[in-house]
Amino acid sequence: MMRSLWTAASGMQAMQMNIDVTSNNLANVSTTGFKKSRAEFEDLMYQTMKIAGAANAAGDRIPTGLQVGMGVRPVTVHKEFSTGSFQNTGNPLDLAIEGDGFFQVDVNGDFAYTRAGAFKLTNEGQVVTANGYALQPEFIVPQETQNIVVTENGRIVAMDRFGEELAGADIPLFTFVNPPGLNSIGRNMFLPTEASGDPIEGVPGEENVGTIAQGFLEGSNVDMVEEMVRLITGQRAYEINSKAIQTSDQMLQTATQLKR
Amino acid sequence: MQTSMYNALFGALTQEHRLANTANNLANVNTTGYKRETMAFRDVFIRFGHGMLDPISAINEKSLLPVPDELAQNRIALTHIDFAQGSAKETGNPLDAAIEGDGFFKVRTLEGDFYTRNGNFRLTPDGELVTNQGFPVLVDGGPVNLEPNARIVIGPDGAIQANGEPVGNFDLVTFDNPQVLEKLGQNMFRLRAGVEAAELPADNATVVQGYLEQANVEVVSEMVSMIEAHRSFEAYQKVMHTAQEADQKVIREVASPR
Repeated sequence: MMRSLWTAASGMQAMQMNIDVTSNNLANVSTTGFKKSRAEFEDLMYQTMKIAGAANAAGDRIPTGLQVGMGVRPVTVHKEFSTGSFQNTGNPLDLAIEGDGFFQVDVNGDFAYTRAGAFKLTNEGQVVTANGYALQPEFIVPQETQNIVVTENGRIVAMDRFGEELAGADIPLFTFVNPPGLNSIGRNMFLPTEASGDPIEGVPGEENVGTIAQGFLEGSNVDMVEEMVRLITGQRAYEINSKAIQTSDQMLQTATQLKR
Repeated sequence: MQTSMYNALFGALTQEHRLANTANNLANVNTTGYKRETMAFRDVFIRFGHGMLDPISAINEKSLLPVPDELAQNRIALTHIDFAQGSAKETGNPLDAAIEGDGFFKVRTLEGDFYTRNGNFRLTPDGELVTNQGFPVLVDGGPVNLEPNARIVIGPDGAIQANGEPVGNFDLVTFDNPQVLEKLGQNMFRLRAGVEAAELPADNATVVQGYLEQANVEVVSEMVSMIEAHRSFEAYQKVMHTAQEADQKVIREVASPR
C-alpha cells in the first residue's frame, strides 16, 4: 500500500518540476536570445517479486515475471538551442547570429557566451552588453564616429561623416560541441562546462558558425502553443497522481477499519 | 470461516499490487518512451482437507461432511508490458528520434547492451552520441562520434548523415516476442536472465527525426482500473468483516452455556 503512495508522490514531484521549467520558458517568452528548456523523465527501478523463468510447483517455467515499478524521476532539463525568430530593430549595434555561434563577453574577468546581441556604447565608446559586459575582443568607437557597420562575416567598422574608416576589428564567434551542456548563469549568459566542451573560435560565415545580421535581434525560441500544451499535460498529470495518492489513502483507511 | 477470511485477504493484497502498478503507470504518463504495464491474474485452487478422505462413514452410508468443493483464491500471476505505439511529440530537436513500429535503439552500459525506445540523444564534449543518462547509443555495432556543429539528418531507415556525409545506421533491433524483455528503469529494457532470444533487425521500424515517442499510458483506463482496485479492496474488507462477525457469533451464541 505504501508503495503506491510513494510512487504517486514521485509522479507529483516530477510534474511539479515540469511546470517549473515551463513557467520559466513562458516568463522569458520575449527575452532576447533566450533558449527554452525541457524537462525529461525516466522510470525508476523495478521491484521484482517473481523472477521470470523460475519454475512453479508443477515444473513449468513462468513465462513472464512480476515486476512493479517505483515511479518516475526527472533525469535532465535539456536546453534547446534552435534559432529564435529575428526582429528588425534598425539599431546598428543590434546583432543577431544566423547559425550556431555565440558572442564572447567579459564578465568580471571570465569569458561568458551569449546570443543576445543587443550591444550598447559606454561613455568611452566601448561596445558592451546591456549589463555593461564588454564584447570580446574589446572595441572602442572613436569620438567622431557617424556610422557603425558590421558585415556578415563579423568585421565591425566605425566611420566618420566622410565614410573614412576610423577603427575596425573582427568579431569572432564561438561554438560548442554540445551546447545543451552549457551552464546558464542568467542575464542571457552561458559558461562552458565539462559537458559542453571548450569554446571553438570560428570566423562568421564559415562552416556552421553563422553569419552576423546587423540591425536585427534574435527573439526567444519559446513556442507559446507548445508551452501551453505542456502546462495542460503537466497539470493533469499532477492531478491524476494526486488521485492515486487519495486512492491509496482511502484503501489504507479501509484496511484500518478492519478492526472495529 | 478461516477460508473466506484468507480468500478475502489474498484478494485485497492483489488489489494492492494492482494499485501500485496503476500508480507507476500514472507517474510515468509524461515519460518519453515509457511502455505501460498490465497485470494478469490467475486463481489458485485450494482443496478442502476432507476432499482427500473418503467422506462416507460406515454408520448409515451418508456423507458426514459437505461435498468437497474446490475454492479459488486469486493471485497476481504476472506483469505484462504493453509494447503498443505511443503518440509522437514534435520537438524540432535534430538529435531527437522516435521509432514508429516494432524496434529498439541499442544502448551500451557498463553492465551490457540494453534496449530503449527513448530517442532523446545528445552529444558529449568529444562529440559522442549518447542518451540522457550518458550511455552511448550504438550505431553500426559501436558508439559513434559526430563532428561538432554538423548538420545531422536521420533518415527513416535510421541512417545518420552529418553535413551530408553518411556516418552509419542506428542499430535497430526487435524480437519475435518482445515479452522476453524486462524493464530495469531509466527507460531501458533488457533480456531477462536465462532467456535465449535472437535480436532481429527491425525491418518495419521507421525512425522519425525531431520527434519523441510519448508514454502509451491511457489515463482513462488507468483511472478506471484504480477505481476498480479501490472498490474491490473495500468489498474484500466487507467480506473479512462479515467473516469476523460470523466467527464472533459462533463464539458468543453457540458456545454460550444454556
